Amino acid sequence: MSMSTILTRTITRLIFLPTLVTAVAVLVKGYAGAGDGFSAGVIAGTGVVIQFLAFGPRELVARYPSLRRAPLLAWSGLLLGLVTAFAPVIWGDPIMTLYPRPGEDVPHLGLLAFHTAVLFDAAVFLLVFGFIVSVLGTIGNRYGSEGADS
Amino acid sequence: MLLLLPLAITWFGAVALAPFDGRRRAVGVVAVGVMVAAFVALVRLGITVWTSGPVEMVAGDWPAGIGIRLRADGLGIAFALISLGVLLAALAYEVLGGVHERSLPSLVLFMSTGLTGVFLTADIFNFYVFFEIAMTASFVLATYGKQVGHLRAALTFMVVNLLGSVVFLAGVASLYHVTGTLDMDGVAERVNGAPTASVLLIAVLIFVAFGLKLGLFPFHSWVPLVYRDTWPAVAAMLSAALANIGSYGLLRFGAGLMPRELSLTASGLIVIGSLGILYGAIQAVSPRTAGEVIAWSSIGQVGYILVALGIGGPVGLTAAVLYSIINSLNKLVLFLAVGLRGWLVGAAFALAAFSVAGVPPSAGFFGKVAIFRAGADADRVPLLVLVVVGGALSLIYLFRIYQRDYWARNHAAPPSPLGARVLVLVLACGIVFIGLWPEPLLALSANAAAALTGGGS
Amino acid sequence: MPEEFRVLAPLVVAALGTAAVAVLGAVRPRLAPPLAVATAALALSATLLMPAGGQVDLPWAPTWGLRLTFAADGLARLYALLATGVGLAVLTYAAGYMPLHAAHEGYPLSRTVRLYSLILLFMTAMLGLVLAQDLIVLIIFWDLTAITSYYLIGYEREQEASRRAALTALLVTGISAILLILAGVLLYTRFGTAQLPDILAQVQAGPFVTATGALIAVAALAKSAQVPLHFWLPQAMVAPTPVSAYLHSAAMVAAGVFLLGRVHPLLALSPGLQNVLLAGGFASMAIGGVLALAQREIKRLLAYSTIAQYGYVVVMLSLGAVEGAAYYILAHALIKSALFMSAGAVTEATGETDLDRLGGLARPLPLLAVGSGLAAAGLAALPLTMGFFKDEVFFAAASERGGLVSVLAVAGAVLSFAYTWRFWGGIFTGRLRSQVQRIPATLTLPVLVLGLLVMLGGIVPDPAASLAAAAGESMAERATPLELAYHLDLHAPTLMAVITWVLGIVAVLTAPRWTAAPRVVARIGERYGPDRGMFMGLVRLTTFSRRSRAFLEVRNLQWRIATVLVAAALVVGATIVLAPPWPTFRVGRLPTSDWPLFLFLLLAALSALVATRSAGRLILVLALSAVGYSLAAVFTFIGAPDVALVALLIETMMTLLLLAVLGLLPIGLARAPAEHEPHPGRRRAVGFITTAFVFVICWGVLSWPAPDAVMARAHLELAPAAHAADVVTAILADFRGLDTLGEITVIAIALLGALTFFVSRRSA
Repeated sequence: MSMSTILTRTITRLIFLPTLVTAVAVLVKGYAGAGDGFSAGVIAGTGVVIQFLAFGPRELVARYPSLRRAPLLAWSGLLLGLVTAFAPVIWGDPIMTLYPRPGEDVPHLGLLAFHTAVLFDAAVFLLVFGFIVSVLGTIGNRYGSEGADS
Repeated sequence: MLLLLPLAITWFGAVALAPFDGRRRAVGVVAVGVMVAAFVALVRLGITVWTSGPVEMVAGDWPAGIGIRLRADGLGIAFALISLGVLLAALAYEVLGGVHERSLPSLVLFMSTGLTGVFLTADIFNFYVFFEIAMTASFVLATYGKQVGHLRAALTFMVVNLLGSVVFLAGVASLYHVTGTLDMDGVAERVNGAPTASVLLIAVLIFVAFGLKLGLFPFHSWVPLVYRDTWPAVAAMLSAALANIGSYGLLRFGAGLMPRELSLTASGLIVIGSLGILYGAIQAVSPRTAGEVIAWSSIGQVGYILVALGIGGPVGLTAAVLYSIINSLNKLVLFLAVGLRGWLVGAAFALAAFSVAGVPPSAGFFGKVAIFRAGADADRVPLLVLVVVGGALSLIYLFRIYQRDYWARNHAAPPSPLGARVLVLVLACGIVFIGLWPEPLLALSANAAAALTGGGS
Repeated sequence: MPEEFRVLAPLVVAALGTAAVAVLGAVRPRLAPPLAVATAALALSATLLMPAGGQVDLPWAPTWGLRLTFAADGLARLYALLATGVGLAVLTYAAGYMPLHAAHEGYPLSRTVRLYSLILLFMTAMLGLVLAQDLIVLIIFWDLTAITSYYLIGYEREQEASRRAALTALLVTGISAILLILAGVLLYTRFGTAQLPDILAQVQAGPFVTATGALIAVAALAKSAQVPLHFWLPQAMVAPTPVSAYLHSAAMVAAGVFLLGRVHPLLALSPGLQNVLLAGGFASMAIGGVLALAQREIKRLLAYSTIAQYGYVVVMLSLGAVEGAAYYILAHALIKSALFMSAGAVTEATGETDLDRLGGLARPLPLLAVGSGLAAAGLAALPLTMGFFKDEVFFAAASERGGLVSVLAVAGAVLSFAYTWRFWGGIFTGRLRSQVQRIPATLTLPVLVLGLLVMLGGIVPDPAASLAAAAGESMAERATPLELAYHLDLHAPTLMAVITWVLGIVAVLTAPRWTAAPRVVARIGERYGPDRGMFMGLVRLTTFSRRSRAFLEVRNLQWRIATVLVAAALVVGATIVLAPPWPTFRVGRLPTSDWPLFLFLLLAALSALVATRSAGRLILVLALSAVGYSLAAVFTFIGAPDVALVALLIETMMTLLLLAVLGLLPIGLARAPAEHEPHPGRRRAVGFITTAFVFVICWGVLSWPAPDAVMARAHLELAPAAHAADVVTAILADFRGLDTLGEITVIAIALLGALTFFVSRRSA
């Protein structure tokens, strides 16, 4: 039931980029207020879901052939998370140790702070976003091709 | 470092293998290699724990109770070893026989990660998280094979066990609510601050959740269908590795965190366990397929674990640990054997069947002896009678199906790959080997029980 | 190697031989028989070389205080000699018998390898059993004999009769062995040691000892095929003859009375138990003897004879005549294995097993007739055979008790006399009724050797007597001299023997007049006996199992969930009874500031209700998302904006995704009518019960918030240190980052599932 009116299609296309920007903002500002990698991932994912609804599986796959590779996004997200978590163990600190350590100064670039928890949050973002997109891609692939057959 | 190694190996391995097609032999072999490495790391960790006591680490270098605490003690190591061993064997079995689906190796590694984590964490919510990892992997694994029967079994498994997960999560939340902490030591210390009536209800939640996972009577409704209809190697993983969460959980949360509530309800547990022993054994007498007989048998077998837990004390808890481990081994061999045809398989089935019935020289004999000891220690004569009856029934149902399947029938079907058959026979011989030299297992379970009662490591 | 390790030599030889035969035999079937015979010979020599009174003591399972203790006391030496000596004779016989048998049955020689290795394994088990001094070790070997015998009886596994006989034997001996395990553990727990000598030194008369003694006795009697647990033995005659000749004369059945001897001091403490054993022994003598007279099949006749003969032994043990019992076992083992082997030889020569179709074989098979005749003379207790003394010691024991016991003893012996003639006379005398084929010498030779031994023992009684005396000594833990000689004066045993012969001859001569009587008994036994009882019991158990499952077990998913919920509710109910919620649980107030919260909760509840009643998919999805949004609103009210945000996002996402998927499903796909769907009334009842138990739990838990939420407080305080202004983010990415890592792993696994599911479904 793709809601394929010209209006929905146009609006959908227009809001995609702003959705991603919002997502990144939620990710970054997580350390100041509500929001984190998970929410950011879901927001970005929603952007794609809306596209899916608007264009339908077949057209979505046609528009973004790279959807097929989306699982790699998820795997690399999880791998990044694992590396962030386990890396401190290599030099003898406990798992999930935060760098810079509590109490030390954190370099900033505007709102963006540079510490390992942010890296971890980015991993969460990648995984969640990758998950949503991959699932859509799989469904799209399956029903898209079936639609083409019939 | 040592504590995290088994966890890290399977976790990284699972992610690394996820993108690849597991039907390719190389991927399977790598996965088996990863499991072997993790197992070795776990043994290494175990040696440290047995010789110099529990190993601990708080994530993020925070004080305990703020960060998540991981801890390897005798109990956790015992369960991690058997579960990882079972998964390793089941995976090797599938790889030898030919993997049918791309995700299998990675899923088994994820499941190992979840199980290792469950057994090595000292934080109740973290326990839940690892538990979810293992459960989710098993939900996907349950569909393995993709025949209609597999899918129906998988659906049942998933729905009923999701219910169990929700119940358990509610239990964890409740414990947090009444104690204000998620750290196991903190919970154990503070839970007595709340009145018994409330804590008992939390204990019930946790009992229901783990009873469901373990497939304990009367929460067994999913077991016969699922164990019968899932792929044999998957049934082995579910019944011999995943179900360990249930017995471990009962031990850890019951004897470890809420000993007061455990001793209050001990008689109730023994009654439920006894009913389960009888019910499972009686139901196992009539089915006509080996898979279903073993499924019912396992409902009866876990009853023994509950009974031993109810008896409690060092002897009872040792028996519970010992029986859990042996039960896992038996179920592993039985389910794997069910999936095979040809020479050697019958012998493996029979060895495991003798072990289930507690006939020496098999590991199961020491399980039965441990249960008898616990019963004799507690002076519970009806219980002793029950164990005798249960043993008698298990001889009846196992050997009727054994004779029907391996003696009477001339299998026209081509024999299964030799590698898988040899593996199953080797595992079965392992059961006999433990029966001939039980010391390591006895020491391991005594050590595990001591970890709960506070003595030893 | 230390001297005392020679005690283990027979055991080690037999074990290694078992492995060698199994492995080499699998490669070269022809090697199996000579290898097996050599092993038995070596084991016999090792047994003869065992140092008297030697003992080995090795640590085994220190955690439980179990030790590998083996001792070569008199009892062990006697039984070890039997196991290896008779084993040698039987294996020699088997080397000749099995190729013929295989040819008759039409299977390749390679299949007979299993028989040799199983017989050797049985020998190993038997040696371990008799040498063991640790109760747990003893039990292990005890059960090993049961397992081995199961496989030997079920040797011809394609035949229904074999399978049934094997299962019967396994159930009778296996289940009774569980009682032995129980007895062993009870003793072990009570006395804190599994070492038999230590236990026997500590036992004192009382109900505990009577109870454990009774458990042990049941296991022993089942093994020795005593009434009413005897029925497995006649069935077991389907096994090839070497198996019967070994297990069912000298080894398996002897293990039972061995155990009674091993724990004799314990049994002797309970007079009641002794009387029960006495009664059981006589019952076996009577029933075994009478039924032996009713059998037409020669091996079954011998089986019933074995039952009766071990009845003698049990009687003697219960009378305290341990040395006599030991002698009896020795004599009987030689006699009975010779007779079993002659039965097998006769069957191989003629192809017949039925007494009605046999006869007059003394002329074509003279050597066999002589060997078998000597053994039969022994069984009938004629002078100049060991048999004479076996009855002599028996009568001596009985006459000491006097009265009824003596009369019964004579009656039993008359029965033996009668059926022995029926066996030997029926086969070797009279008219020749069948074709006779040549049989190899290996079938005759062992019979002849054993027969000559039986005679030799009757002429030179001392060696056997001293063996038995030593065995008696280790059973009774006192000196038990046994002097055997022919007395010409008429003391009681001799008198009883003479009466027996006279009555026996009368019985044989009048046989045509009473032959119908035992058959009637046999028929009654078939209809009402324990054999039938067990069979019917199994049938009823199976039916009960099937019916109860049909009645109790649920078949669809809804019911599977319902049973779990109801069971959980029952447990909660029981808990409430144990610890009533009143007055512990509190009822709080509902401040007006919480009214909006309450409203949203109500909304969530109503939406959930709609979801349960919805007919269409679309409404279902919308109702579910309404539940989610209402709960998200609740979170905003209780000051958890982060949680509310996530809940809101997830809800939006899920709703959209579900709608998208719904759109792909074919329209008008009717809901498949489910089988066994619960009745609406029952569904409501389950729902109500579940709600009640959830309510009680929530109430109980929420009544008692923790006085101090330590962890939450610490998280709030430490969030700035974790470089985060927002505590929730700090918790997710740092304090409890491991949980987050776990949860994203869960998502990854779900993705893996989705990928395989959809992708492979397509390729499939």
